[in-house]
Amino acid sequence: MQFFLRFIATILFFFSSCVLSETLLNISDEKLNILSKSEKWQKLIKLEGINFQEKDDFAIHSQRFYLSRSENITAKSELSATLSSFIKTQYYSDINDHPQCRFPARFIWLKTKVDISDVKPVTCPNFQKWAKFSATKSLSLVFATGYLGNPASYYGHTLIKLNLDENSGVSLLDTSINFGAEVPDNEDPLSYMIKGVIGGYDGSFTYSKYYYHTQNYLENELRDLWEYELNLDDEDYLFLVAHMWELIEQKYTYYFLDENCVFRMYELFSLIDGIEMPTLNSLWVIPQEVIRAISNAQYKQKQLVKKTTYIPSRQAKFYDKYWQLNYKEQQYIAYIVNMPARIVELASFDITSKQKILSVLVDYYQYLIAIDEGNKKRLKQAYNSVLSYRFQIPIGKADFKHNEPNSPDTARPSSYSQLSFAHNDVLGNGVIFKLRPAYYDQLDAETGHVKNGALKMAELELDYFSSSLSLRSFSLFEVISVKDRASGLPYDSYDSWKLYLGLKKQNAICTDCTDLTFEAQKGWTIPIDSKTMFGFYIGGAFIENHENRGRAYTKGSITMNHRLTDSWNFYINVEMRKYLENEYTSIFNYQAQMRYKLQLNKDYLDFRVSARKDEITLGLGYYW
Amino acid sequence: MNKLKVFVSSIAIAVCASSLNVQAANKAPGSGPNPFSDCGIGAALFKDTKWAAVSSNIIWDIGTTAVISATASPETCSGANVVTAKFIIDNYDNIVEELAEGEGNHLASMYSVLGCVETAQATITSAIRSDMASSVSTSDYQEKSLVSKSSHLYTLVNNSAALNNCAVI
Repeated sequence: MQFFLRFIATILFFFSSCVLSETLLNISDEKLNILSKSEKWQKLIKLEGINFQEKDDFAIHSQRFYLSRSENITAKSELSATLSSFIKTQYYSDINDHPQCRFPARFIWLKTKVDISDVKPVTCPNFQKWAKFSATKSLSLVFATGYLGNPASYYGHTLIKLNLDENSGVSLLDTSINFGAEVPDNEDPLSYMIKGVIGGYDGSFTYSKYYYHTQNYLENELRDLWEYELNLDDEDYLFLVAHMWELIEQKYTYYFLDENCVFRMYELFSLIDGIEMPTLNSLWVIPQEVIRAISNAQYKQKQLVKKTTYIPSRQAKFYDKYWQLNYKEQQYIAYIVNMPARIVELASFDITSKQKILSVLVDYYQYLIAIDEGNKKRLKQAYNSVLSYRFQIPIGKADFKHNEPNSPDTARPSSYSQLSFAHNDVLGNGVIFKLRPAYYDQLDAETGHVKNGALKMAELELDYFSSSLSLRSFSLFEVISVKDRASGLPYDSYDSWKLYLGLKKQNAICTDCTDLTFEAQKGWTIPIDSKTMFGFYIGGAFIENHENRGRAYTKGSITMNHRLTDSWNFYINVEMRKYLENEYTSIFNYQAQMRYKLQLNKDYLDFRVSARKDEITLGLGYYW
Repeated sequence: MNKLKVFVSSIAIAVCASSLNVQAANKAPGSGPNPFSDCGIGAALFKDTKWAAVSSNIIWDIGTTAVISATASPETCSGANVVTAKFIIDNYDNIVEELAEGEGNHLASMYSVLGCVETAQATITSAIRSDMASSVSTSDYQEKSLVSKSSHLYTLVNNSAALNNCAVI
């Protein structure tokens, strides 16, 4: 009898669900067409190709992100399949597999477009547990500043953080969502570079506790973090979090230059109605540009970003604190690090100085442990002795002022064009045009960049002298890594380096002499004060033979960077080259450049006067 | 007869459940499973290294599922104790530095997992600080593994009497 009743119930259940399904799927074909062509739907299913109807136009290639078969997928077929799956009453052994649980954002949106009021909402334990809607109140876009230890991180990184109630004051346990490439262990650098550019890696959203990232960025890679808390209302916040849940671990193709981490973050925010952001049209997408866009964006007649928080790396904390110490305290730090056993002599200082000195020492050793694998054991020993001493004095935070640099969103745009008028001693008067897609040079580094350093990719310079257009230079890359805040303490020396690969003219007065050049230099940069820095380098280069000079030279150079005011700064470089294959050839070069920056409304400009051997230029630059 | 069985069973379950609740509420500090020794943290999942080898582009899920499935049953190795243990091992240096100073975000985060309000946090910090001072100053401190040091700190926190005033034990 029981079996019979169950059978009847099952038949009725099945029948009713079919009727329900049929009824709801009686949405007119025209309505389905309209909905499937709507921008929101296409963004939800990651349809972003040109044709908008083909399999290859979908950014995600995981079948489990779609409810229709990927071979024949269209926006309309996916819409039908989604609607159908929502209204079908089907048994799921794990309720988390229910389409409403897998695609909560689609469900939220479709409820506003189609009458599915008869469909019973499903409770989704995994989604609810992950989103923690009862505790999380807002989300932040987090920007990790650039890292010269990994080319893919030169320009910074972004992630999202779901903020627990801000009254808790604790964010390390918040959930963070990251988009990254899935790079196999031990990938060689060449494959890494090529595959990264041509789309040889999958990329996906993943999540973790926020402290994983704070450990990795602040302690290990020594990169500062900037949190931009967004001003979303509850409805949009819930919708965005629901959509992120749909995307977790779905596979995209990762492109380092454009469809990268920050592009995917930007894409998420563009899903929200009412956020007015500029469109990304460039061939490359730089994290800082998206940070600027988000920061300047409006949302429902208010600023999208409601709060910015700076979190310094261990290295930044060390420098900030070290440079706040008085001379005596700095001297004592040097005294201790040269012989850690002397720490007991700290007893002669008052408690405030003790707390400061010990706090700086803790940060100093942790910073060095992160960068100096070879001396790790010895550094840890010294760190432990400092820590042990710290436990012996009373509880209390060291009294330092919290200094905050300008936030990255206030920096100028990343790309640069310049038009200069030049007087050349041999070639006469002419014009020089420069185009730099990214990122900064010795004079225009700002927040998020290495001050007095340089990071250039694909910088092109053309000149026009005596009715002749020629290629002046084209750099594949140029990196100048300097320690602009080094303390000069042991292991925190002034080590710096320069690397250049590209085409450039052998000198200012030659024509048809733009040759392949690879140049490397190692040296020291010493900050005299917060405005002035001197650099000393030695190195060499491989270059095409020109005027029988040979194909290799060594060089020594001295540089100086000085900031006169916030708007004026200058840079001087003098160098002596000795060609190795021609013992009679030595060349002395110099270059001096002064820059004045200005801002007109939202346009960022600069003027530069430059003098180098045999040439003077006056240029106007525009950042875009 | 069936009704009688159901009734008796219900009574038995209710009695067991209430005694479990009483046990949980009266549990002495430190009496729960130690995730380091009982749940495979360290041995099964973590290596004794810092985060140095981890790149920002590597996909990494630090959810507790892996810990739980490593060795022990979910009954003994889920919840606040495992989250606390993982937090300690992943943030050990920061926590110890903040213990020395008496306050900080990492310390507050650890206590928040345990449901400790500010007054309880300060009490626990004072209580375990002298033990940590002794531990850090021992000659073999440097040679100890991260797992061992984290386990020791976890035990100190878990044995603190003030933990009874926290919401989660």
